[in-house]
Amino acid sequence: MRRSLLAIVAVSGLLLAACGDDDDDSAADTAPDEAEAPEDTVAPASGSGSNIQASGECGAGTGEEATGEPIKIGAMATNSPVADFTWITGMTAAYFECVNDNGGIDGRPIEYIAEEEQVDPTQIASLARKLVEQDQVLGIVGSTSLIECSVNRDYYAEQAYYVIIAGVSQDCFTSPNFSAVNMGPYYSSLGGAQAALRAGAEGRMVVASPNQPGFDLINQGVVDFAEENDLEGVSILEDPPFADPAGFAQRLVQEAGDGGGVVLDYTGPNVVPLLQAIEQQGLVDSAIWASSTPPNDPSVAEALGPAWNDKFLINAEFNVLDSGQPDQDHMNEIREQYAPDINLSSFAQMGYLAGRVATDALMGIEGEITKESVNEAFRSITNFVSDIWCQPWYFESGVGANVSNNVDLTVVPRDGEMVQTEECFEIAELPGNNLAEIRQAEEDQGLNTGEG
Amino acid sequence: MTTDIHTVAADEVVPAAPVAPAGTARARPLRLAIVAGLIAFLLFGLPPLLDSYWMLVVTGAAIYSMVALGLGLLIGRVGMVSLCQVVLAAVGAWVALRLSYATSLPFPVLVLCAGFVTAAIGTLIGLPALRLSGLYLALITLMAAGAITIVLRAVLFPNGGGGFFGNSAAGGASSRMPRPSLAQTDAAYFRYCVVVAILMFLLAAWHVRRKPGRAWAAIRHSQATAISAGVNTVLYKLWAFALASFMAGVAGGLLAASAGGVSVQQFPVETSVTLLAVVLMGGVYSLWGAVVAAFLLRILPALLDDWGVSTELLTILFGIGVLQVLMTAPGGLADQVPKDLAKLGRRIGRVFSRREAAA
Amino acid sequence: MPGLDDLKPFLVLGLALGGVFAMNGVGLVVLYRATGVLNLAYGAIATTGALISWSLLGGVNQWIAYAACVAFGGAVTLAYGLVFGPPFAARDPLVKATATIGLLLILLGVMLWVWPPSTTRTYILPTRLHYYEIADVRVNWTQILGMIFPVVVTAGTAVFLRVTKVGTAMRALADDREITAMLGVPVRRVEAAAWLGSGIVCGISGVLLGDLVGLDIVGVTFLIIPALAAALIGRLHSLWVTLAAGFVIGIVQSCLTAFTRVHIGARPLADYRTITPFVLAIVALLFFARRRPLVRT
Repeated sequence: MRRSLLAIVAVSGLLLAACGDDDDDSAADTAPDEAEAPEDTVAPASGSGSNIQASGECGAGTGEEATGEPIKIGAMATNSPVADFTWITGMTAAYFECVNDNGGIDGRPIEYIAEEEQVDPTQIASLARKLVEQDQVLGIVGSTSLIECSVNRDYYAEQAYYVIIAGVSQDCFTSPNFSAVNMGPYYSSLGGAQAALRAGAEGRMVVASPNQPGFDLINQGVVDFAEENDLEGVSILEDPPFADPAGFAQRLVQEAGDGGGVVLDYTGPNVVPLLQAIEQQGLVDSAIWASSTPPNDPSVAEALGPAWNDKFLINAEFNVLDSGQPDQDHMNEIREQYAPDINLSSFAQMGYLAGRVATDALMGIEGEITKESVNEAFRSITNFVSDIWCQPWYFESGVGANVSNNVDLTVVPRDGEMVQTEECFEIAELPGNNLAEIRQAEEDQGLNTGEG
Repeated sequence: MTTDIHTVAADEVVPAAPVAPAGTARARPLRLAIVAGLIAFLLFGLPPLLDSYWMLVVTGAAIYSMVALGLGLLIGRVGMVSLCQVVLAAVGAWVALRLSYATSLPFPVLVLCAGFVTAAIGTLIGLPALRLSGLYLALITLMAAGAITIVLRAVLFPNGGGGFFGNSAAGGASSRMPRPSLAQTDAAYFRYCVVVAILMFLLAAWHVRRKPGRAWAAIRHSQATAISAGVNTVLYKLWAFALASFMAGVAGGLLAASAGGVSVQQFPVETSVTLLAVVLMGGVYSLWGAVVAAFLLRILPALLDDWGVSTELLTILFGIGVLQVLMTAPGGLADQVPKDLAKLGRRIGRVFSRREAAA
Repeated sequence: MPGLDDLKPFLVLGLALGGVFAMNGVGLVVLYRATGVLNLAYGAIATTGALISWSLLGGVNQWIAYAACVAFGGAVTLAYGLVFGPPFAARDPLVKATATIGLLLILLGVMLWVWPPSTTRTYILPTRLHYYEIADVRVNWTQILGMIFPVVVTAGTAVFLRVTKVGTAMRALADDREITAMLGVPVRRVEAAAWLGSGIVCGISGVLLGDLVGLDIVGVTFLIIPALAAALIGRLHSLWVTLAAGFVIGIVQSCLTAFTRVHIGARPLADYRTITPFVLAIVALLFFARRRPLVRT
């Protein structure tokens, strides 16, 4: 009874919204609006269009627990003092739990095996083998790691796994076997730099990232962008946690010079002490401050004082967390019900989206569910629409590298909340990155143009 | 009790190893047979039983047993505590990688070079140790570990780039050395590492039984007495340090060719603290302690992860273990378990003999 | 090469950073002098206390929350001293220090378990809200406290050891425990006082460090390592030298942040600045080692 009431409310909400004002998707490639006919969730075929789900339901939406033979799905996430990505796999796990409570995949529950690693290449290589050969997972969904893409890319290619991830290092975005629901620090920092430039940064653009393997390449994107736009690019690698955040803040301001821009590339818990030091030193107005996506988290907005209002340009790889749109609300519901310890954050969005696209693909498999059919299903995902993304998502570009999430927006902290300030915009194409190629492929193959 | 730097250690981290009782001469062939059987099992019986995940885990254990062996020798035989063993393994990996990109030397030569260069660096670190007593030596190794870690994080591991440091941004996140042609698969590489580990253990055993071992025992008992007896304490202390560093360097060279390669982040200074804890728990009297230490450091966490127990529990356990070893069981598990088993064996024997007597 | 103007802000900030090192270094040496124990778990105790304060904030009055950190520091250190002090009392300082590693690991495991590192945890002491502007840099009152506190502890301990009965007993204890006991000094009670005092100093450090450096578990726990560098320069004996060493390390390390144009290999000198405590300590130790004879029984 309660579920049908919720469904009615959701459907009415959709209808009302469809008739109402759509003031936040004026740009051409923003999230699709709710003018689509309200649906309930019959399993859509893999690769088809709108997948808006009614609230309270996941997957088949039957409301009954799945009890068949489990479908094993694996993942691994970094959990180390420098970076903790377990919220992402945690959110995917929550989504799969919801799916299992709603009939699973054709009555079969998903058994999600999420491992944690500590940035040890041998451990990461061995965990991949464990998942594939010992646990015999049929697919890998939601992995997020500082270095896994570099360590395991050849292994997954050998084993013909097409892995849905939240990517970090650039290897995640230059291999046909990985496709990320997010944008990764390279593109996200680039987006931050673009926002800083629009906000008036001049002279120099500084980018600061953790001193972890692969991050000098990540900084190179911002440096190249700066040079394309007649600014001097400065790359700094500095490991968190900062023993002297005030000193680092001073260094950043000195390097940025007058009116320069600074793009930070740190997770929420690591960047907040730095931002607090910047405020405390009175340096908030001494540079244009921007960042890649991880600080897009309400707990960060709460930790910052009003001095930071509108002054910290965070590249949000996804739509705002309180957009009020159906998928976002759906995510919030699942989070509250199944994973309340995970903060409402862009990490949660990543985990949710990974779970969503995977479930959708699994439900669309006709015939036996095997490793081959699962990975083929993942690989063939195209035109997956969600209001959390600026444009539809797809797995494979066909050019040997997958960067499906390459359009996003900017948020800023304001009075304890994260607020959107810019419409969806394209991440810059540079001679040094592959976006031009990828966008060409998207157009040629209709991967995200909305046509089934 | 004093705060002066130069007090000779009145006792050691763990008391001197007890003299082996007579009767071991007869037990020797039996022990040799057991050791031979164990080695045969490791080389031939174990690999078919393991899947690729566990193969990599036990390979890691085999490699780290050498690092633990070096530290165990330092603590148990000479009474010196070093907190830079893990970092020296990183140095060994660095040397091996740099040479593998710059030259086409065969794999064993690369690993040996890694060992020797690391031994030289270890000796340099140990030099000031000659004039300082136990606590200060431990602290200076900690300082050296911290310094080397920072340099490594700045220069990173070689990945095929140019220049002295051989690292370029485009090279990728982790660095890997090619394996020797006779050990390309994971199982073959495991056997290779076991063989190298056995060689290191033999090296250690040779040292312990011959002159160095006797000199070390004399030094640990009383440095002043050793000097007056004509022992060249400077030489033997440096030798111990060089040996431990050599083992760490060789281990590092083997790590460089493990699946996935190496990255500087996997050698933080904190691991040296954990290594000290497991080496103490494993036992520093006997060479078996290094095997136990490797088990605690690499295999037990993987087992716990399999069973869903969190690894923080293990950290707490190690902390308790350190306190326990230092307070009551200085020989660690390698000493305690055989003793307990022997006691158990005797009790069972007594039960049977009483029954016979009664019958 | 950066000019004096570029360096000025870092000089000032370096004093604040030095205060952090000096605080821990002095705390370490105080306990070492009284009991012969180099408490490597010092940072871990401070961090755990700070996290306890963080957990209590919002629920209780903030002064009670901060007092909890101080109380925790005192209680845990005292408990450790009472339980593990006497059994190790006659043993080498190396053994005693190694034993504290046991406590370090236990606390580290507990912290990582109870307060997993995924969320942002910070607190702001009321003293952070007021600041002075010196040399284009703002120094807030927490940082000033961070500089004054180790000085107060050093001066206070020096006076205490010299003037009071308990202090004199502690000095005697440090010299020779057996004879002191034979002379009728209540050795265990004096030691307990030393442990408690050190623990309280540790707890206060914890409160300040939580604001100055943040609540990163592994980072603050192992802040003990650069503090050890300062303590080593003071030869684990002189509080004033340890204090000065802490400040010097902080200033040099901070000033190196300005060296962004001088390069070693591909990286600027500024990227190597955290090596300062280790280099200075090694240099100091080499210097001390040269002037002394090899063996003294």
